[in-house]
Amino acid sequence: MIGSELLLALLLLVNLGAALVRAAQGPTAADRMLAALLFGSTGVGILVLLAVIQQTPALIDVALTLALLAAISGIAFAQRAWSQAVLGRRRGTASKTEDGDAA
Amino acid sequence: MNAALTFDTLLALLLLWSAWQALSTPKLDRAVIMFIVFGLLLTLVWSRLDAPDIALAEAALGAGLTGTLLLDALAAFGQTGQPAGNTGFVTTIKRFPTILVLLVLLAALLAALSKLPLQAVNLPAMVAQQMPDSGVSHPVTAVLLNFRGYDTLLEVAVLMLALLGILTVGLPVERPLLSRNLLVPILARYAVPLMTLAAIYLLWAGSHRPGGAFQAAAMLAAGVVLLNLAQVQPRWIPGQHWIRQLISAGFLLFLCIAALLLMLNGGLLHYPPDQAGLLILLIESGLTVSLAINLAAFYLLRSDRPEPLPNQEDEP
Amino acid sequence: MSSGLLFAVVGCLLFVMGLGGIILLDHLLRRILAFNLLGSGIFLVLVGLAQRNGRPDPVPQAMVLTGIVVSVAATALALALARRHQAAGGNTGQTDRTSPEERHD
Repeated sequence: MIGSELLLALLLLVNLGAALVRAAQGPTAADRMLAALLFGSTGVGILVLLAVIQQTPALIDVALTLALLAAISGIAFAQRAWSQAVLGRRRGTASKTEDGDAA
Repeated sequence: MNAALTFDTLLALLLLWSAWQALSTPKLDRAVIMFIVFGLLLTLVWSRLDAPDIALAEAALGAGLTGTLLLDALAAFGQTGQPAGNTGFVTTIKRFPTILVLLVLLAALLAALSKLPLQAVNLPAMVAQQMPDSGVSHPVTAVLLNFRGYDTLLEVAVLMLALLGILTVGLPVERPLLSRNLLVPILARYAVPLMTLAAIYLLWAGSHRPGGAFQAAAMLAAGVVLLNLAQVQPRWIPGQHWIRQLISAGFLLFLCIAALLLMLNGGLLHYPPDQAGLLILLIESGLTVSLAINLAAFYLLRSDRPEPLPNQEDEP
Repeated sequence: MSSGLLFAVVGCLLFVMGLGGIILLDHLLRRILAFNLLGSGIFLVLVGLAQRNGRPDPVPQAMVLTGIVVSVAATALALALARRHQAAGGNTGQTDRTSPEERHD
């Protein structure tokens, strides 16, 4: 019984490895952050499995903490990226008009 | 048991790889994301090492606070997009001695690990022996607040000192976000009460199972950060005296109890066994509030007025 | 090999990696990341070595718990210093590695 749970945890860890590759390579920043968010939810799964395997119920608390907080850095990242995109667009149009004036 | 070793080895490899990526990936925002991932993997490592207390702290601080602090700083540094290091041939030659010294250091460390002396003292047994007098039934809490309570006292002082340093250095308030996000306030409305509940649970749990003031404070601080991201809670400024008062209150409570015990019992933080549980709960409750505000202030406290929007300056 | 010893070895590798990062990397933010990796390495060695026979040991766990919170405080202070340094017009180390103000971090 414990063996099958360990195998499941191992499978999820391999999933994490795949997500890590995507987080490292992902063509856009959003891909990376989504992969990092996937880390949160997969991590919750692994923690719950580890709680059963190691018979430490406290690890379920860790999973709860991670589940509650994993989204926060994603939100911070998204807001930053969004704000930058808007700012970049404004700056972009501003510099274009400047170029137009120069031409 | 073989599967467990495979699990550990794979986890170790992923951890090392994410650490390497955080240092070597060419762009700064990638490095920060890889560091956040590193923190999540580290949470799993602490779980494998049977250290749920540390895993809780790492999960709460890494996911809630360190990540947002780094992303915040990243916005201030701007995306310059320079490579991690000059990879030219000359710099490689210049750096070769350093790398050589580092490799020798690594070899020495690993050699030291290969022939370890036997453990001279059996700390877990000593802790277990003293547990009945500690007032709590969770060993890590007993060590933190009873056997080595002065460490924790000084740690709280260090946190206050760091905040004082940040206040002295002074950080400008960045521009407010350009658009109101509608989704995040809804999430915050559901998540922040749950976080508060979880923090109270963790504080209560600390006396008999993994949990305690630090983890509860980290959880609360993450809640405050989320409120700021939802544009509900504005940045704090040094003029708000309740922040300083609340941060000092927990530390002063701890200090008063320590001084009182010093006068009564002749030992710093030597609790009388009968009242130990109550005193520890009192200290932990005070610390939770103070530490939560202290940790949140690392992210929220700003010393200057916001800078004007750049495009407003540009416009004639 | 117990998982304690395995992660102590990983801790050593992280320590050396972080030390190398602090010495060799240019950007201040990256040095702060390296400093954190170095700290995590030390924490892993502390707990991993104490638990190499497989039994949990509350004393190093409590020490590391304290250390993690302090390292967050140190990171926050370092980030504030780095940001102020940049706001004051100092470079964050992209081109000139030997400017005198750089020595303060």
